[in-house]
Amino acid sequence: MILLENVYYKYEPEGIEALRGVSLQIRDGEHLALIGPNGCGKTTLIRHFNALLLPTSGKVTVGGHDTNEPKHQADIRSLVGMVFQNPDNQIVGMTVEEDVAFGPENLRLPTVEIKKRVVEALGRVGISELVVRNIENLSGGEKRLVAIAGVLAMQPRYIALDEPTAFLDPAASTRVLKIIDKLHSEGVGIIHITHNMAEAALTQRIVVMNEGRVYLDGTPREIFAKFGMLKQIGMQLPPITELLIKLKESGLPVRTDIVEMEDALVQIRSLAGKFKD
Amino acid sequence: MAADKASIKGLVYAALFGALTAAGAFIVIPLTPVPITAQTFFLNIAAVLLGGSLGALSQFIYVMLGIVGIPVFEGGKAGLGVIFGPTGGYLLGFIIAAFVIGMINQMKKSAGISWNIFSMFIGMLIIYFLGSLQLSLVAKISFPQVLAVGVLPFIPGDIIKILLAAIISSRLKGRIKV
Amino acid sequence: MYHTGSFIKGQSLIYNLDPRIKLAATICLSVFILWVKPLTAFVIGIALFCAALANGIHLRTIGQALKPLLFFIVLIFLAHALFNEGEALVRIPRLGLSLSYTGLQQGFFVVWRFLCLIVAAILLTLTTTPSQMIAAIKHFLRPLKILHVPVDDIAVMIMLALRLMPILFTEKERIETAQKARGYNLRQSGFIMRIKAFLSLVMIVLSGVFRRADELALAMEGRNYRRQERTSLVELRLTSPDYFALTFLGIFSVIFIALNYYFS
Repeated sequence: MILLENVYYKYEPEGIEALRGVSLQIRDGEHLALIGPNGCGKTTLIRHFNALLLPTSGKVTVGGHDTNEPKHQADIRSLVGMVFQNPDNQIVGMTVEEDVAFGPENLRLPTVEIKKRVVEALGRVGISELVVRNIENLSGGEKRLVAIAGVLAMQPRYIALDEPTAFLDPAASTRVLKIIDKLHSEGVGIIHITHNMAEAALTQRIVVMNEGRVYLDGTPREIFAKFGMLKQIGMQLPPITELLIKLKESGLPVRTDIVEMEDALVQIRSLAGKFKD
Repeated sequence: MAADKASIKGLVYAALFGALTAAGAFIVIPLTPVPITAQTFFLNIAAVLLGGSLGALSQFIYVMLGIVGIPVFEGGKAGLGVIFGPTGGYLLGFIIAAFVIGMINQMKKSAGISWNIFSMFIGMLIIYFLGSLQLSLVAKISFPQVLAVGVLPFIPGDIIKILLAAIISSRLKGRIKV
Repeated sequence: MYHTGSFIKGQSLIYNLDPRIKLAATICLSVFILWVKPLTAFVIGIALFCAALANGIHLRTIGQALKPLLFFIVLIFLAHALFNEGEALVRIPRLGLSLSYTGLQQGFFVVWRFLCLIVAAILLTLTTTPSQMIAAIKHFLRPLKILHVPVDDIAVMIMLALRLMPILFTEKERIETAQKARGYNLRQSGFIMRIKAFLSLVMIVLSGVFRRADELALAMEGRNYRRQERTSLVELRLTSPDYFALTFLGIFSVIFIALNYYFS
């Protein structure tokens, strides 16, 4: 479990207060989307999950260990893998296998074990065939998967991803999202920053941040039902939800707490049924 | 800061400047009729911004890139051959010059452009000295010949690079905290 | 214009040798080339060229490596040929120079030795991947740990620098295009304009890559990188071809040393 108690964080020397009292509890195996306007503290928040940033005040514990204690930081960093927004700022190896091996090498595993971990991690994200390829010849989507594999090679219990589909074309986005989903089904806890509401709608829980605080926290349905509050901080709704809200505003009897295509179709079909009568 | 106590950030910056110096082999400063490459330009910036130890480390990384086989020395892929060849002394000079430039620069608390130029000038002399030494030993030529072949042709370009590097370093100083 | 490493995939004895053997052999050979008598160096050179050709290395590759050095090589050759005390073949009276046979000979051997160094190094880099080279360098630097040289970190830094180089070029090109779009051009306009354009290009590129470096350092920390000894994916182990190569090199060294005495 990742537990945050009243966490404040101030960037020095600029003096910008990025987190202003965040309390949050993330359970093992949860799939959580973190959304909010630019500069609301999402990235700062997830960097607290593996002790890359330490709270100015308040407390963060991961698996029962306080991130402030240096002796636990290595364990915490293996427990929570961090995937940065730009894979080019994360990948250190020249070839795929070299990069994926970087984490296990830091854990000082024997060569045989490192090789095993590389094969396993690449298999889990479905890019086994890229093993000896040069990083510079990979596509954006492939690099993203290499970055995820590099983190998986440390066998983390959680993965925090900072906008994993940013700058990807739709096909590559879908591929990355499918892998994230698969990892979740394997029991890995996922914390996933996104600006794409349709993406957030597919998770189990959405945390909305605003101005360094948790603004809303609930299931996608609960969150999108409070569309007025989302609009207030300049957030958009998933297109499907938006459509249903528009229909309701024009006087049609539909539910608006809907985020998935299938559910929306049921609503609209039932409308059509009523008009036939 | 001594290299064995440097932060991870310091090491990343040293690697970055090693890569920049190497990339400098392909970057031409288009200011003179004879194009000059940007290697010692980045060397000077590295030494001032990173200090002696990390600056020297960055140049050591640059030399290692050449040995690994990146075509970053004059002489392309023959890295090790260049090190043992007549021009290898310049490369050793890079490492030592970076150390000395960094050390001299750190002696003043707030080094301005003129102090930058002074330290870089000392560094240039070190590179010329070590470069000429190996040149005369390996190519078996006399001191005046060494001057004509290995020093004089480079002076105008090097002075321009020092001036530019001094300006850039003073603008970027304080930007890196290693 | 730029490729990571020079490694060309191939199948021959040298490709499969342990990189430590290759690196050590090249260093020893280089010292040897500089130290031995001219005629021995000549024989070593012939052997090296044969080895290079046998390993599928084209003369063109060697030529490419020599091209940027040509200016230097010619100057060094002329310095020997024209400024020698030996008996003159041709005199250039107005300049007080003379072309002598001993001078030509000396110049030839100096340049020849240099050529040998280049061919030996090309043979090394074209048959060894960058990661193998890094592993070998790390191995040979290991004794320096006593002097607190951060050997494990240096290996990581070489890898990192190799990784960063293509990123630097992309960044530079991206910003140059943007500058051109805004009317800056490094090649035309006055001297002051060109200096301004160059300085602003460098400032933008450096600020950008510094931000990258900050992120990269953080990402490495997040992947549990600490300043300590690390294990490695690449495992170097001597196998029978390596012992064969060592024996082979030993025999050749003896022959060359004997030859060296014979030529004196």
